[in-house]
Amino acid sequence: MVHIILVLTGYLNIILAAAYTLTSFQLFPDLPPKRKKKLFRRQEHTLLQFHFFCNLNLILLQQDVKLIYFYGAQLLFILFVMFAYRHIYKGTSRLLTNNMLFFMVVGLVMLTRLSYKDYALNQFITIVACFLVFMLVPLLMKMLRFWERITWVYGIGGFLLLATVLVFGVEEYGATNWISIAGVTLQPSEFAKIIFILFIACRLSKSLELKDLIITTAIAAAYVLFLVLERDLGAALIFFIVYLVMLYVATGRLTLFISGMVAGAGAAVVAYQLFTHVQTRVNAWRDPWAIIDGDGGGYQICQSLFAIGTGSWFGLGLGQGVPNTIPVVYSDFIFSALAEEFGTIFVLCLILVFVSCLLVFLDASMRAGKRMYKLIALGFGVCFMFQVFLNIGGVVKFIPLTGVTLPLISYGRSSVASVLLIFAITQGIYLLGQNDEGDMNEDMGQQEAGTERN
Amino acid sequence: MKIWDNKKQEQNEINVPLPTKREEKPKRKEKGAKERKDRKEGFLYTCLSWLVRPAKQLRLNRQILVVAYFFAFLFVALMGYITYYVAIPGKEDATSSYNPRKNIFSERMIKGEIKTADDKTIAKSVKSGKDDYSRSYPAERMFAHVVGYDLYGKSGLEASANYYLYRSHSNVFGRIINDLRDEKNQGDTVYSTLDYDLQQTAYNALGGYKGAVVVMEPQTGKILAMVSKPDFNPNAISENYEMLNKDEDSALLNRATQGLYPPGSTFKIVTALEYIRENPKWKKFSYTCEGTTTIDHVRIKCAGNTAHGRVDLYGAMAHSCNNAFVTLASGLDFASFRKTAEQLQLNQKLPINLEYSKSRFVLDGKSPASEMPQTSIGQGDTLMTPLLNCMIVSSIANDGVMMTPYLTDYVESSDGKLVKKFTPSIYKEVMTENEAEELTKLLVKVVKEGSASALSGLRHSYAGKTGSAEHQEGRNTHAWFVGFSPVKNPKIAVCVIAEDAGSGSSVAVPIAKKIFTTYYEKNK
Repeated sequence: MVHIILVLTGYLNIILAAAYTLTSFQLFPDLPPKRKKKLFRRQEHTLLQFHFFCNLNLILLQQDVKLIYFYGAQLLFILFVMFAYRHIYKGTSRLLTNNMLFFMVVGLVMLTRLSYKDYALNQFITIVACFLVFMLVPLLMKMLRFWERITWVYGIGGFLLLATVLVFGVEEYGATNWISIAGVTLQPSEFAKIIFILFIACRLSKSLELKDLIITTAIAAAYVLFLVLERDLGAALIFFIVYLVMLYVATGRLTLFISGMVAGAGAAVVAYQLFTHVQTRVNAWRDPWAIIDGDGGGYQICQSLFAIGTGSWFGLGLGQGVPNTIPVVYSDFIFSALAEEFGTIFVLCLILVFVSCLLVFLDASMRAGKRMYKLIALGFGVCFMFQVFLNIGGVVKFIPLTGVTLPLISYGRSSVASVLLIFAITQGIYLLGQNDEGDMNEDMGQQEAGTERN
Repeated sequence: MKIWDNKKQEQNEINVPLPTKREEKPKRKEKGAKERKDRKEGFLYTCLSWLVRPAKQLRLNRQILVVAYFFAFLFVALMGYITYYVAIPGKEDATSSYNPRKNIFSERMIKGEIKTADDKTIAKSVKSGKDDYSRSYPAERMFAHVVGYDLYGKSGLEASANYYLYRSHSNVFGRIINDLRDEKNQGDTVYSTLDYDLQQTAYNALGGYKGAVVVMEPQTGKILAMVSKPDFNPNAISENYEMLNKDEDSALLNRATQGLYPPGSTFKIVTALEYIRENPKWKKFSYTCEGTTTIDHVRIKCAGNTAHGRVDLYGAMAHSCNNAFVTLASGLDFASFRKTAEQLQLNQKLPINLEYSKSRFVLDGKSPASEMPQTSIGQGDTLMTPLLNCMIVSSIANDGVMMTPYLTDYVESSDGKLVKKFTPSIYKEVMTENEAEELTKLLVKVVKEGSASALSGLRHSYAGKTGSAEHQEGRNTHAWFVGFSPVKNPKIAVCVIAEDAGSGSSVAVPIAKKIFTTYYEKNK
């Protein structure tokens, strides 16, 4: 009996994930409100069903009463989030909220499967705490408008945050990008990312004069260099790409983006020559089988590929694989665990939901009135999505490993907190964009101004 | 920006955003001032300003769309890569011993069958309990080593094809129904390259001798037969495992791939190759054999103290004249000799997914001259596996190209769909085509008028080399034969070793002959 349930839920979960993915794209075109409402309801039901069946599976497998309570707590939280955003913050993106919940559910299910005690419970507490605090963010954004003007507070604050590792820094996984305060380890670069984007958005929305562009670029380069010296290559890469994309969108000059990429490629070659840890990463990507023994990083990537290959299309079923054989599976390599147990179809759906999430960010950016809001939403979207690309690309050996987490799914306090903050600010921008009908469509306003001038 | 701003002032498309009040559009008077200011700032500044000037239509939304397309492209590529990785079955990782998932399937799958190329089952799963299956080997001892066993550990094909045997590519719905009924799915069938009849002939021909036989297709690397003796009964292995493990004769050892033997005179092939390489005028070599000789204080005698008289390299090879070989080898360069040996994969890893030993060649640039005579005739410290010896002779047959030896031909689902086909692959060019041709001529001589003349005068042509390797004082020599047939466009290469059996020509050649005969009877 148990076996039948396990097998059935295994297939059912894939179907539910696919159904969820479908609705997450169906909701983009302008639909009549009634139809939209129906679709949202369907999407939310699918999400709750997926959550239920995954947890049923886990409870049957682990036979632990605690998991029933844990499921109950999660369910309450999900319902609360759905309710809160729908009724308190009217005008926020319901799709973004749902997608956020989907990632959280997927992450919590996998972490519970890996270890309830070590990861899942902590992760859940972090999520709840951060979410409740960040609930205030959209409200504050609306009430206190001074946050749009403190450009240099961001510029300097971000650096100070990164500099904390020089004082409190501890080394983990070969990079000195963690700080430890009162026994709590945090990764400042996760938060510096947000401040950096706010800073760049402030700068680029105020002036596109060459002088200002040069100053902005110099500061952005200083950030990236700082991160490279901290050996936090993943973050450095994210900052770099985010800046280039924001610069491109702000100026509309593709040449700037391309020349930036060329410069970046040159810098990457130099970094490869200079740093041995870059060389190890690249070698492990080129041929992990050759250095499967020893600490070249080949072992990790090989285990990840074993997991994905073994999982094949339909996965081994939740709890049926051996994802714990992959080093740091709970964090950077959680994608491989998902591929092993849920299967490739499921993880492809997951990637599509990430894409849907990016589209929501870009949609927020397009809808936003002010240039600054546009750039912030865009920066967040790019930052979020590029991190997803680096993580998944790394664990499937598409690109070299960069050591970044899978947002909202990987275990990690800083990672979860920073992503939730990004979501909260984006919701705030949605809210401002919807409400600030006054300065809606600045582009159009400018066009009119231009006509006037003649 | 300003430059552009000024130049295009009169046009309509100006959309440059100037968001704050402070930066309201300059009036005409101020504009002139700015123009002057730009000139003051120099040419470079002007150029740069022009380069980074905002686009004419500064609509952010259009750029945002471009970003969306850019990321869509990135993720389509990523998803394509993942799909490709999962869709193409059987990667190098599948059978890796590092993969802890090797055994994960045994609980939910029935391990598939292993069949020979001529469709005879040599391993299958039979129901042994309500939900239990155990492996059964219909051919019993004949394929014991090469098929191996699946016990606490695995060996042979049972290990190397494990991944495929535990995968099912049969009808998806059938599999789902089985899943639901909590019944195991039948794994795919692996067709090996092994030929049942050749294996049987080789197994019977080796008879009571300990030793090994390897039969290969030189042009593809397919292994057609692989016998090792003493053997064991794979159907009773779980009962006998303890005993077999402690066995003095190490019956569990696959001598074909793991047995290290002094190559004896078969190594003269390597010595001859090195001599040809170092001496362009090797055809002028001449030596008068008187039965014994002393070189570098080492006394060497020809088998049975036979005096071969005047021989060139052909004669020395044909009659396996030790004296001639130690003489020609005395001038060889040690370092270069080692290089040649290692090119032929001695001291090297072999590209095969079976347990094997590395063959050993110890001479190097620093070795004393007194090591050379024994080494040149395959005694001394050189040790080789029958597999490598077969690979070397196959390379000679295949114009100097060593093919990757392989045992799995293709994989079929239990309902007969082709899942994966393995194709021959070149491993390395170990000698030039010309060298291979010259060595072939030397080996033909061995058959025509030398120690393997039992193979002469038959319907098909043969080339080969015998060996009688001394291994222990007072015991009979190991009998070796390596060879291939036909000489032109070779189809089959054979390596035979029979331990303590006597001379190569009297014991090993007849065994090889039976194998060749069976092959030609089957492939008329």
